[in-house]
Order: sequence, then C-alpha cells, then structure tokens
Amino acid sequence: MSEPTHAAESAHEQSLGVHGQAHDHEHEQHIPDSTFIKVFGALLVFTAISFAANQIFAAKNPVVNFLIIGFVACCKAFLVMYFFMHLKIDWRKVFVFLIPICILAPMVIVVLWPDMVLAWRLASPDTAP
Amino acid sequence: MNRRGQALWVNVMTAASVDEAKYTQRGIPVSNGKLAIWLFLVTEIMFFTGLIGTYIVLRMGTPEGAWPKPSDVHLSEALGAINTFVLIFSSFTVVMAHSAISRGESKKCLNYIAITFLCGVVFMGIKAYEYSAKFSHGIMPGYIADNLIDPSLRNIDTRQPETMHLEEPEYARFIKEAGRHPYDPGAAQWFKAQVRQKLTPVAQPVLEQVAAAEAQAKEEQRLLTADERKALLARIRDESRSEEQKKAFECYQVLAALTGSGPGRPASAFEVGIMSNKLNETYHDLHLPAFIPYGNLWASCYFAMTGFHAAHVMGGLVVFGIILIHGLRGRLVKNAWNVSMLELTGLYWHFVDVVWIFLFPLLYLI
Repeated sequence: MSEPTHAAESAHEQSLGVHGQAHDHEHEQHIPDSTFIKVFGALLVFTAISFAANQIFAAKNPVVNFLIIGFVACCKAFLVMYFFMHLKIDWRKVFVFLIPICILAPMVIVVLWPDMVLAWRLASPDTAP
Repeated sequence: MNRRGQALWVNVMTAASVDEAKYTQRGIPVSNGKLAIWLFLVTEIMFFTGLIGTYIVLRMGTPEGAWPKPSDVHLSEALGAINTFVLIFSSFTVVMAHSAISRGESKKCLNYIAITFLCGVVFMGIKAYEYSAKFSHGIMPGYIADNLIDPSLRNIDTRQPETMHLEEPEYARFIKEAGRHPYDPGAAQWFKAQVRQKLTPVAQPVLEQVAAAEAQAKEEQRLLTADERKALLARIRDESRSEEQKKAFECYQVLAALTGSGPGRPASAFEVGIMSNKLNETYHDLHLPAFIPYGNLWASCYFAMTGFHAAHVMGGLVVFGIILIHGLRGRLVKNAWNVSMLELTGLYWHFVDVVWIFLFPLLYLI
C-alpha cells in the first residue's frame, strides 16, 4: 500500500508547486524606490496640511476642520497601505481579509451610536438628569 | 489484487488526488508568513477599532463643547506632529531596508534598520515626556475633578455683580451644560481642600502681611475694615515686583475667594476650579488639581489608546533590535528568509504607523 501513499504525496507536492510558483511570482513584482520617496514626500505634505488646517479652522469652523483633517488622515492611511504595505501588488491576494474588516470596523461605531450619541442629543435639557 | 489491478488502482487514486488537491488544497496565493501576518494584522485592526470607536462614540455623546480641548489636558500639537513625522519617516526607512535587502545591499539595509530603530526610540522618548507631563499635572483616570458644576448654576442670574463674571466664555462654556453633569458635593469639598492645601504655602508671605495688619487692628481693639483690607491688598499688589511675589499675591486672591475671607461670598468649587486652571496656565510649577469636565473619561481613552499603541511600538523595537544584532553579526545577507522577514516586520511596523495616523488627529487636533 506504499504506492498510493507516495502518489498522494506527489499530488500534494504538485499542489505545493502551484503555491511555490505563486510565491516566486510574488517577488517578481516590486515598487521602485523612487515611488517610496514620492509617497514619503506626499505623507509629509499631508501632515503639514492637517496641522495648518487645525491652526486656521479649529476655532472658526470646527466642521470644516474635522472634514479636512479626517480626509487627510484617510489619504495618509491609504498611501501607507497601498505603497508601503504593498497592497498595490497584494490586494488581490489579501482582500478576503480586508473587505470584512472594512465592513466590521464602521459597524462597531454604528451599533453604539444610537445609545451613546443619539440618546443624549435627542434628550431635551428638562429630561436630562 | 494482481499487479495489473494494483497499477490501475494507483493510477485512479493518483488522478483523484491531483484533481482533489487542485480544489481542496489550493489556498490564497501568498507565502505562509504573509498569510499569518495579515491574519494577525486583521485582528489588530479590530482591536484598535474597538478602542478608537469607543473614543469616538464617547466623545460625540458628550454635550457640545464640553469635551476637553488639547490645551485643557496639556497636549502639545507640535509634539504630536513631531511624533507623526518620526513614525512616517521610520515607515519609509523600513520599506527602503526591504528594498535594499532585495537587491542584496546588506550594508544599506542595516543602516536603514538602525535609523528605524532610532526613530522608534525617539517616538517612545517623546511619549514618555508627554506621559510624565500628564502625571505631574495629575491628569490620570480617577484623579481629575470633573464634576464640580452645581446644577443650580443652570438658572443663575448673571446680572448680579457677584455672578456677572459667569457670563465670561470660560465659565459660560460649562454653565451652559450645568445640570447634565453628575454633581458630587463630596468631590467638590475634596477639590477645594486640595487647592487650599497647595495654595497656602505659596501665598504665605501675603497671608503673613494680612495677619500682621489684622493683629495690629486687634491691638487697637477693633476689626480690620473692608476699606483698610482693600487698601492693604492694593499696596501688596503694587509692591509685588518679582515673579515669586506676583505668584504669592495671585494665589492669595484665589485662597481668599475660596475661604470667603475676601470680598463677596465664598466661591463655589466650580469657580475655584476655573481660577485654579488659570493659575496652572500661568505658573507651571504650581500643579494645582485640574478641573476638567469629562477629564477622567478623556484620560482613560487617551492612556488606553496611546498606551496600547506605545506597547506595539515597543514590540516593533524588540524585533528591530534583534534584526540589528543579526545584521551586525553579518547575517543580514540576501536570502529568501531575510527578505521575507524584513517584509513581514515592515508590514507590522506600517500598521503601527497607520494607527498613529488616526490617533494623532483624533487626540491632538480635532
């Protein structure tokens, strides 16, 4: 009965071979250093924008301040994840983990919102404790 | 089973296994290491989402304008921005280190790793400085006076001379929400006692001069009149030229308002809180207990978020320290293991950077 076992092993090796090829292929693609330098520069510019926006709008218009700073933070996170974390290359391979997270993370806030935020905002000052 | 039958059975089984393997054993086309680190990072994302999400709902759930501003809790935007730069730069050097090792440039890679390690140390140094400033100002969960606002302030008549100052923005900001805050008379008494205990030694020179004037009036078998007291204090104020004398005089004024020995009614704990905050802003070495509505909630969120983030930075520093030793021993050469190890460590470090990218504006800016 040793031959069938051997056959199964060779089948397994064959399947690993598929992985091996994928793994090699993974290293074929790369992002050039010049791109990393540009991304680093963009991240610095974005940090300066959020700092400056806070100096200008924090007192005058907090909503505009929040929108600018929130947008800039999302852009910065995108740049780091897309280029530095290689999602530009690996997105097709790891999106199965990231898509559920993109749904679940906002859900954490959404499910707490009615009790923790809306309940207070809707309560009139007379009914407040 | 004869030989021919055996061969046929083997062929059928082999074909079946290959076919089955194609569909059952084929996973995501990434290396095991990358699969593991991404699974780990996904759990980490949910962990920090819990912390950041809780902070957002708690903050949005407080009355408008009542949540502590960065200046209320002694947070420096400039220090936060420097730390952001440091982490972004370290992310850049990690990615360059990975790029260098992929090309076989070991020396360059080692230099980039050393810079990354240094950046991590600088980040932790700034964080430690920030934490020590919080501790010295008593900004810790459970140590902040955050419920001094008496609900009776809600309907106070601010047209009276005694309460007119409550119309000023710094008071009005809190009075507007008075009544929605829990009020604890015990905490208010404790706060007043703490401020009194800290102010008394600083205001001692002024207290002595006032006591001397009172003793002299007693010798003349009378009490110090309000006008005499007023004139005495005006003289002390005019004669206060050095920083120490000015500090002593200002501390005395708060002390007099607190105890009721000055003109008018004794100040409420809420008013003492505003006055002691002003003194803290002017004289950084006073370290009076801070009055910060929602301060304890803020401090819990701040220490939980930045503390866990700092723990992650520490974890990264340990790994970079090991890689640095590995490189100094000449083992950081181009091979599959080193390239993969640097890529996976880099993924973790970039994640730590991404978390800070959100923590910085949430805590220091907005």
